[in-house]
Formats: sequence, structure tokens, C-alpha cells
Amino acid sequence: MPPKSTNPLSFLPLTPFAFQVLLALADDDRHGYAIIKEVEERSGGQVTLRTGTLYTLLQRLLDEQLISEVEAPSAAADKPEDSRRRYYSLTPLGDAVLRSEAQRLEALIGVARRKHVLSDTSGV
Amino acid sequence: MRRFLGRAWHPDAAATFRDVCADARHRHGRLGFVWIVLAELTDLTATAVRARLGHTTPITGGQPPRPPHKAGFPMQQLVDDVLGGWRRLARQPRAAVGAIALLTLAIGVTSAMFTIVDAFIVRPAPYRDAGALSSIWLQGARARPDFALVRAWRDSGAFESVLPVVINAVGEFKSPNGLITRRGSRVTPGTFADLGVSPLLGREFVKGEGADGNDDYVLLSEEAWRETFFADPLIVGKVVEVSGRPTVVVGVMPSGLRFPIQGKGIWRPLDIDRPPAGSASNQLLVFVRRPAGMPPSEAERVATDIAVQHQGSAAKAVTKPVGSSIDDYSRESIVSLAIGVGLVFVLLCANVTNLILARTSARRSEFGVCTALGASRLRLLRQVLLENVAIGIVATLLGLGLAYGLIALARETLPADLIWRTLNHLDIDLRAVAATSAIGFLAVLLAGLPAAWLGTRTDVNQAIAGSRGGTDSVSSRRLTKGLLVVEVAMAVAVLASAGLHVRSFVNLTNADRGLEADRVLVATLTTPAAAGQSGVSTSVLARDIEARLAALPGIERVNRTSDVPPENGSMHFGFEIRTDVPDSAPVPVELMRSYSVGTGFFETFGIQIVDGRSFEPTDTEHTVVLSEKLARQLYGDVSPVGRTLPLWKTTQHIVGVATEIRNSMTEPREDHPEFYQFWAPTATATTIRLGIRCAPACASHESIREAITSVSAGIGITSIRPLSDDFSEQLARPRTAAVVATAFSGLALLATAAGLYGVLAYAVSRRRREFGIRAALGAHPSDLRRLVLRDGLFVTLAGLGVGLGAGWGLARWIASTQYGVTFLDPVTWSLVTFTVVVVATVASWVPARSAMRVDPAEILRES
Repeated sequence: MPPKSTNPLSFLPLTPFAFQVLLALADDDRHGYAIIKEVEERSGGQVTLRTGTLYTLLQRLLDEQLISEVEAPSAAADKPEDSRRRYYSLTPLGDAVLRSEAQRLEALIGVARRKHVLSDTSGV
Repeated sequence: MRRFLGRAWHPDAAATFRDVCADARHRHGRLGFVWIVLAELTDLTATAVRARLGHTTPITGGQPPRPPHKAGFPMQQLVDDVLGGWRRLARQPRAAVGAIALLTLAIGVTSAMFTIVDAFIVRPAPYRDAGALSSIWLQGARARPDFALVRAWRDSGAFESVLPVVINAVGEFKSPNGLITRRGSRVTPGTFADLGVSPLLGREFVKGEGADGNDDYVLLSEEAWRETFFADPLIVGKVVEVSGRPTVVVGVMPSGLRFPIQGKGIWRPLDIDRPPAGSASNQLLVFVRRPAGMPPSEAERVATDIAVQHQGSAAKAVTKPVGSSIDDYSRESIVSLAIGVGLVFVLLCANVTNLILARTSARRSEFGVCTALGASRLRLLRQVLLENVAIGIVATLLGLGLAYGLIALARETLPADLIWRTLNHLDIDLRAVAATSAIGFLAVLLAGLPAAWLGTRTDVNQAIAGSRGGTDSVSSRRLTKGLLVVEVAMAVAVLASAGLHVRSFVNLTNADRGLEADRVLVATLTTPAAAGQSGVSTSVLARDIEARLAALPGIERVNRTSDVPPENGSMHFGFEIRTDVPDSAPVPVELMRSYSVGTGFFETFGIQIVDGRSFEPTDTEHTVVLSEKLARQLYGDVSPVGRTLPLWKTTQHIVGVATEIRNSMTEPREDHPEFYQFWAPTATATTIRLGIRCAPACASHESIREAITSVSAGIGITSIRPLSDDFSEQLARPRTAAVVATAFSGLALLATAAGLYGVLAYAVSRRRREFGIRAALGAHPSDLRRLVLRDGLFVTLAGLGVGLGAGWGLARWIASTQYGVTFLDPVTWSLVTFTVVVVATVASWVPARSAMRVDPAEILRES
């Protein structure tokens, strides 16, 4: 199925949850539970994804071809408990959308800094 | 959950859900786990609902894309219709509350009756594969199963199992209030496992228990355990005293278990290879479990073959499904009451239909506008039906509560001897809930569908033009009148059946029973022998007590007896008597009741001696008196007085013939002849009964108690009660039938009156313009009143006509099941007609008066 839109900018701004999920897949392919854990740990427990929300989101991201299903990594495939797992990976389009969103946020942060809403030391 | 998640997304979602829960338990403890699982489930539900409503999860931060409106997509419309219906109901709650109340009544009463019919007649006994279980006995002269035949049936291997039960186990238990007698049965080891019933505590009997000399074991019912041992949790294995013997309690059986018939008792063990002393085979019931695929007829054939081989007589084995121990009278009463309830149900539904029709008709102009704006008939129909469904759901829930209350009431008030005739526990269970829901659905369909169909049939122009308030459509008026006719007809039928039940009960109360129960007290005593004390002769004790009581002021006669008439004598069934009349054939006796009595028994109980004499002190235990029926059966028109009767291996001397005692129901099928023996109590008899005939001013129960205990401190007094109480108890079933039928007829009459009133009042409010114009044109107020009254009386008379016809058939059947009434009973029919006409006139009067008060000037101003 061709993507509904191939222009990364048409997806912006991303919802916080969609951004978090794409961010979780930026450095590695992950399954659902690993995404939840990654988001939770990275946000210091500030963002919690629930199973229902996550899987409807994943379905939507799959439909928009921002992510795709991939084979389980060989280390995981050997574990019988991981045989049911489904791994997700960013597509080139998803990667572009994620980068565009990060740039958009960066630009916004730059504005906030210039207007002294944020000091230079207060990281995000 | 796993299946749901797997189906909705992928098995991976289920694995994730599991991991999240496991992680929560690991990291947050039990409370945190519960909290997180709840949050997860809420999220899943919300996601599922959103998906069902067509909402997709947004991934962009702008406005989430709205789902495209699909043509014919029903969910949103449905939600709108439900909300709209709810708003309308909330705005005009009166009609809705009325409809809900009537439907609740209909559903509640019908469900309660369903539960009763289900427990007594429909549902199989609560045993494992009850359909394969039958009781079995022999038909034919001298034929009766004994232990040897039971062993032959068992050893033949033709049946999956053979369960013999001896129904004579009696145990005297010590309690703070004296000795308590508990009755029960002897059963073989493994019986309860075969029935699929597990003990509440302990175990059932095991092999070896129940052999002669090794039968001091007892299984208690939960009730006996609670009442006698105050639910002692350590009762199993304890040695308790039962009838003076140390006995081991092996277990407690669950409450509600009735095997073979009565509950709340005890079970003792039985080994049919070495039956214990006292387990007489004349009180032996046998149950067989047929193997899969064996029809009852085949089981009867096999059992007959074995019986003929074994006993050598022309016996025929007959089987009967387990659980159908209900007698004909109760079965017929329950069925006739169920028919009554069915009629009341339809009547109440008809009432609700009228209410809903009135409500829908009032919205005709609204429907007209909706149609003009493009609403389809289907959409309008759905709106109305949804409202009705909402009413139905509320009424079904309330009806379930009402049914629960009615069943609790029935358990308390139904006669005990009727309650234990079902092996099932009388309660609202899943079947009843399913039935209630089905009944609720049926009620909504019956009441709502015709009203919705007619109410939404609108002509746009007519509806809008007629919105000022005119008359209803012809079809809805016809339906309303038709329903009223049906209501009146049903009320007539229900009233007639109640009338017959009441008449029958009155006849039963006044019937001649062959004895005079007034002013007779019956005292039941336990002797010192019952408590294991020996050395005191029971006959000496009985004589001393008789003398002591007879000396009390206010007591005319005292007489000892083994059992109390009319229905407590020992039963002897299925045997033959050959009299001393030359060349006479043996006479088969199906069932006979025997009483062992002392001198003056007949005088005390007011039983007439029609031939010969009653007992005298010089008589022996072989002196007997026959009842009229038995005398006629054995000797025809010849007087038996002075003859000898060979019976039970001795020769009995007949000295008199007494009037026949009719059973409390005066049911000829249940009437069995009596046989009276002169009583010589044995030294070991454990129970004495005394008949006490009082003078008009009787001695107090306290003075009677004192007189008895002054003879011997070892005597326990189980009860002292008037004999008429026995009759009152035995008449409890017809009394209950009469009360319930009267309650139903009252309900039917009230509902009919309310329906008539409601319809006429509504019609008057719709015809105000017409009445105003008539008044303006010169009609007298009494003319207007006559117009409304005529309408009311028209449907009443039509309903009476139909009801008398329909009630005729019903009454014919009911009269055949009741005592001393004919279906043409003039008193009943006149009362029914009179009551219906009076109630209908009263119900029509109020709307008729309001028609008289219509002010033509006001109507013309409104126009």
C-alpha cells in the first residue's frame, strides 16, 4: 500500500505519544513492551504508555507507513518466550518525520531561549 | 483477555499486557498492581469503545481527523435515539413510571411462578445424570422388592447401579430441650457419590459400614448439624449418643439435599448383603441407574425377568423418573395457578400496551413533523421501540427483585409438606434469571410492538392538521378497545378460577372426615426406653399416665395409641388377605393403615362403631376392628363381626366395624382403609401417643405436662397439640392455592379497572373538543356521561361474554381437580359477573364525570 502522504511535514506537529514512540524506535528495533519501558525510563516515569493506547498508536503508525514490522533480532528469536513478539522499526518516512518534528521542537526551544523563557543551562 | 487482545491487534499485545502486569506486581506491590491493572483495563475499554465508534488515534497534534460519516452508519444515530428517548422519558415520567410498575409486576409474578413450576414440575432432580435414574417397584399380588431381589438386580449387571434405601431410620438425639427425633433413611455406601453429591464435611459411608452389628454410624444433614450440634466444626469422627447408642458421625451432607424425599434428617448405613436388624424390607425403596442407551421400558423388562425368576410370581417391575414425587393435587393446583399467572401476565401487558399506545398517539403530530422533515418510518419505530426497551430493561431488573422477594415469601409461607415434595431448592437461580429476561423481552415485545407500529403510522397532513387535539386513529382505537375486551375476559377467567379454589377450600374445611377433631389434644411422649433406660415397662407407664390425666378436671377421656388418625397410621402395602369365608378368593390390598390403640380410642377420637363393639380391657393384641371400607373389601355385605382373619401369621378376631376415616383432602384416590389392633405396648417402645378428649373447658397444657412428668421423670414430652392443627396443616395446600388464586384475581381485577380507567380518561381528554361542541349544540351533561359510560360498559360486556366462554373451559378443568365444586357453580359465576360489572362501572364513572364538566365556552375559545 503506498503511503497516504510522503511529505514528512504533513505529519507535523506530532502528538506527544506518537513522538515518544518514534523516538523509542530511533536507535533500535523494539517490541511493544520494550517501547513502554524505554519511554518510561527515558522520561523518568513522567510518561506512561498503556497497552491499549500503544497498540492503537502502533496500528496507526503502521497504516501511515511511519514504522514497519521487522524480523526479531537473532538474539531474541532464540528465546521461546520472545517468539510471539512483534518488532517494529522506523521506516525512512518515519525517520524523516521524527527528524522534522525534532527540528521543529528545537526551533521552538531556540525561540524560548531567545525570549528568556528558558535559560541556556536548563536542558530539555 | 489474551484472546481479545490477540484478536484486536496481535498476540504481542497480550504478551505486553502480561509483562506490564508482572512488572507492576514486582515493582509496586499488591496495591500498585491493582491500580495499574485497573488503569490498563480502563485504557483498553476506552480504546475499544473509540475504535467501535470509528475514532482513529491521532498522530498529529492538530485536530484529530473526524471519521467520515458513512451512509447508514447506525451507531451515532442509535446513540442520538437513546439519548432522545431518555430525555423524553425524563420529561414525562408519569406514563413511564406507570408502565414500569405494571411491567415489573407482570415480570416479577410470572418469574416467581416460573421458578415454582420449574422446581416442582419441570426441572430434573439435582443429581448426576438424573434422567437415567428411576425409582423401581413391583406391581402384582404379593410382589414387593426385598433385599434378595435387590442383590439379584445388582449382581445381574444390567444396571449401572442399584441404590436401595430403607426409609425407616430414626434417631433420638439429646439436646438441651430434651430428646429430638430425627427421621431419615438407610443408604448403601457409595450412594451419594453415585448421585454426584459431595459431603459438606467428612465423608459418606464406606464399604463394611451398615452390616448387621456394625451400623452405629450416622450422616447428618446440614440442618441437623446446625440445630442439634450448633454447627460444631469438629463433629466429624465424634461419637454421639443416638437412640441411646454411641454412634460415629462420619459426615455432614449439604443443605437442601433431599434423598430420597425428605431433607433435614439423617442417614444411616445399609449393607444389603448383611442388612442390620430393624431395616425392614417393607420400607424399602429401590432406585436404579440405567446404562446409556437403555430406555425405561427395557429396564422394566429386564427387572421384571429377574423378579419373576427370583420370586416366582407374576410380578411386573415399574419405573418412574426420580423427582416426580409431587402428588396429583399439587401438580394440578400449580398448573392451574400457572395458567392464572399467564392470564395475569397477558392482562398486565395489555394494560402496558394501552399506556404506551396512549403515549405514542399523543406524539402523532411530532411524528408528522419528523416525517415531513425526512425521518423514515423505521427511524420513528426505532425511537419508540428504544424507549420501550429502556422501560423493559428497568422493569426486568425490578421484576427480578420482585420475583426474588416473592420466592423468599413462598419459601416461608408455602406448606412444608409441599416444599419437600421437590428435590430442588426453591430459589431464583440462573435459569430463573434467564427466564425473567426472556419474559421481560416478551413483555416488551407484546406491549411495545403493536403500540409502536400503530403509533408511528402517521399521515403528515392529517397529523399536523389534527394537532389541535381530536380523536385518535381508527386502528389505535380499535386496538385499545380490543385490548380492554381481552383484559376484562382474562379477569373473568382468573376470578372464576379463584372462586372455584375458594369454594373447594371451604367445602374441604366443612367436609365430614369420619372423626370429630374438635376438643381433641394429641400428646407425643418419649419413654425412658428411648433414652436407653430400661427396667420400666412402657405399658405400665402408659396406663399410669392415662389414669393421672383422666383425673384432671376438664378432661373427659384419655387414650393411648401408636399413631394418630387420619393419616399417620403405619402403612402396609401390596399384600393379599384370604378370609375365613368358605370358597373365597384371596383379596389383594393395595395399601392399608394400621393403628394400635387402647380401650376408648374410638370414643376419644369420635369415630363411630357401625357394627359390633369397640375394644374392652379384656381384649388381647389379636383383637381387631376393621374400617367400613376394609370390611366391605374383604367380606362384601356380610358382617365380619365374630369372624377370624388370618393375617401376619396369626389369627385375628374381629369384634367391630368403624366408620371410614377420610383423608384431609377427602381425595378418594388417597383414601386407604384402616385396621385397628388392641395395643399392648412392649417394654421397649420408645414413643407413646395419647389422644385426650377435653370438656368444653379444657385443662391447661401446663397442668397436662405436670401430670405426665409426675408419673416418671424419664418421660420426655415432644409435643401437645390440638388434633385440628393436623387438619389445618393438611389443608395448607388447598388453603395456599385459594389464597394465591385470590391474590391473582385481585391483581387481575385491579389491573383491569386501572386499564379501563386509564383508557377512558385518556379518551375523554382527547375528545374534549367533541364533547364541547356537543354541549354547545345542546347536549345535556348527563348525555355526555352516558356516552362515556356506554363505551366502558360496552367493552365490559363484550369482555364478560368472551371471558365467560373462555373461563368456562378453564373452570371445567379446575372443577375436576377441586373438591365438591362443579364448573357450573352458580354462586361463583354470579359473584364473578357482579364483581366485574361493579368494578367496571366504578372505573368508568370518574372519566364520565369529567366528560360532564367540559365547558363548551372554554373549548370554543381554545379553537
